[in-house]
Amino acid sequence: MLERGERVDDSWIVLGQRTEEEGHLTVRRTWLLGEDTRRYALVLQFTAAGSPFAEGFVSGMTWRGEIAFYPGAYPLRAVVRARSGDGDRFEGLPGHETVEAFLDHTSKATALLSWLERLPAALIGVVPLLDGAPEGGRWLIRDRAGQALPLAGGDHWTLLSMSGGRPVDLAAEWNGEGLIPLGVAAAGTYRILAQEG
Amino acid sequence: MDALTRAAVAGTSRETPSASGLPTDGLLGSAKGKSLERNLLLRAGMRTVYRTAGRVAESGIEAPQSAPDETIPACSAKAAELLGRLLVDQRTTILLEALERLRLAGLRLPHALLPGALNVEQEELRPAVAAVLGERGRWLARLNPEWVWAVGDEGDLRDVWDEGALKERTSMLRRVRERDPALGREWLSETWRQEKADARSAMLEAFEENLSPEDEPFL
Repeated sequence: MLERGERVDDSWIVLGQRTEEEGHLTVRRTWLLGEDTRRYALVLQFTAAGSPFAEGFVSGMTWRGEIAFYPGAYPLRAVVRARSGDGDRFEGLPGHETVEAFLDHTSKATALLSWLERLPAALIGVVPLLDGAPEGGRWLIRDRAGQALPLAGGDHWTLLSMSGGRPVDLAAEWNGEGLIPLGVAAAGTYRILAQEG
Repeated sequence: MDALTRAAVAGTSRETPSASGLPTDGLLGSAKGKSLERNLLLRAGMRTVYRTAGRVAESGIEAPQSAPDETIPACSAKAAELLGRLLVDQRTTILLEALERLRLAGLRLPHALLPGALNVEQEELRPAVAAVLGERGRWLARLNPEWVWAVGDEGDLRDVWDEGALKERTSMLRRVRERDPALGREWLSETWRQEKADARSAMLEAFEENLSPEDEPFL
């Protein structure tokens, strides 16, 4: 199948990872974003519980290489064909500048493939905030234009602390309802945000 | 329950879902096979995709107040890693010393460690944490009533009481009543006349803390 898949050469930023147990299997999703092509990619890895994954990725790092997408209406899943080195820290996320641009992107993806459970999101210059008191309040991100989207997956104090009420670059998984943070770039450092709560 | 869900629960023989009113209704005409069941499932599918693809952003959310600039530098990345581990393990004695050294060196905690530091369980660590919070830490602590100890001179507590949302205010009142019941009574009696009915009942609940005969005239 991969022989027919599209191959893309780029500097790939590792946005972040999520690891989940599914029965006897451990599933790891690694989200990539191409610096030049601005293409998102998903590397899915499986192992039998306990054994290590064959290939490692370090969140917040970037490496040069070629990946091959599985063919599909909206190609997202990919495998790494070749990569050089473990990479460098990346400079600036080439993500969506506004919430509207991101929603536009998700609409197009959904139109092409309506079975998508989650999509990656790299958002530039958004301010995380807590609307209301911690109990019963809502976590959101707000872009420069004042457009907001909810955050999901527990509380987000580390993200809030990293931003201090100022714009940060956020990498997240979008599940159609909210953004589940993967990592945040603020003041020149990238921090992995473990799923809290 | 909306019409579609009701029809799905009751069964299509009992209830036929009416048109959803969505622009996707028109697509049904082109679907092959016209059984009621198929019709219902197609509608559900179309509605889901319609909602997902048509998601719009929220507006009207106010930008938060940003934290003041830091006046002192954070500790090194290595020290941060070490401190992060100590905070996770809650090693009180070593933490106390590490935080104290941080303070003596004129440094503060890095931003990423602030929530962990503010969540320390041992009360004895709190003064040491409060001394190395930096501007960001004090800004953050004001957003969570549980962290009020970190910024808790009376003026700060009073700010939350005067300007906070209802939940923050009641939690603040409870705290003040724990510490100084008379002060809590004074605060509440000052604003009582302006409080709305639901606020009043929530506040009276918080007022239970350290209830004494001295509260009788007010009540």
